[in-house]
Amino acid sequence: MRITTFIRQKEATAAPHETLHQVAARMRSVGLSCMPVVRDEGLVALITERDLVKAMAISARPGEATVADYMRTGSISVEPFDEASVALLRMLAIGCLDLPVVNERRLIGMVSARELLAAQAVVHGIAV
Amino acid sequence: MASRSEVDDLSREECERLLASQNLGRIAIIVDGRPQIFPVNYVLEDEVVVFRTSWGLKLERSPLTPVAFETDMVDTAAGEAWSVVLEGTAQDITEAIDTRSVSLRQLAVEPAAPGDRPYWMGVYVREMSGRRFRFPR
Repeated sequence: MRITTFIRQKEATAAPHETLHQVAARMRSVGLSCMPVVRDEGLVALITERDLVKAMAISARPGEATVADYMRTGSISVEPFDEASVALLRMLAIGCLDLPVVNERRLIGMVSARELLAAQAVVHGIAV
Repeated sequence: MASRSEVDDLSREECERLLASQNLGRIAIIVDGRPQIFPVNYVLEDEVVVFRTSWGLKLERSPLTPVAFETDMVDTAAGEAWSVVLEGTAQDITEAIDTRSVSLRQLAVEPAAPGDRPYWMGVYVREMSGRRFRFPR
């Protein structure tokens, strides 16, 4: 099962220069477990709810600390024709329930673990 | 009444020890610009205060916001009292799949108040302070 049909339009993004508090407020309002960090529509990093909480606990000046100081890079996205299992394993490795979807590094949307797992359950005939 | 010189500021280690020795505290959150305070039963685990809650203001308003937490004890027999206050950030860890949150949800956090409390919250400690003083028995 590929993730193509489960991509939601991007709801909210963060910029590297934004403060932790700004991004925390936006993450709360949209209910995402992580936020794609974007520059010129390209995905450059990811910051998770856990990253934010941890950063606000250890930062000397949490009101001034920026996303760039605590965002994570690496395997933080999938592409539209990736299998759902790839996305789910990547979310598990990161520890978040949402993941950015990119096309040649351009952010095109997000996928949710809840939706992917619900669809997987249907495919395998599991009642949820 | 104790004089100022009889009030001891507690070290971070002592604050953590005392915080871990109790299971009832009070969490303060900001709701629509006004402070509100709630008693909760908690467990301290590696600088995270973990408690359970039902659907309501704590769950709706505190995640990813700065919160304060306090616990204290007055031992009238020994003539001693202490309090520990901390500031931190709250996280709703009910469905979080990071390894830390999964581990925190294994803790034996037992609310004393009746009613179902299926949601799990963690307060990640940023700063902590405490004071102890003696008073005449």
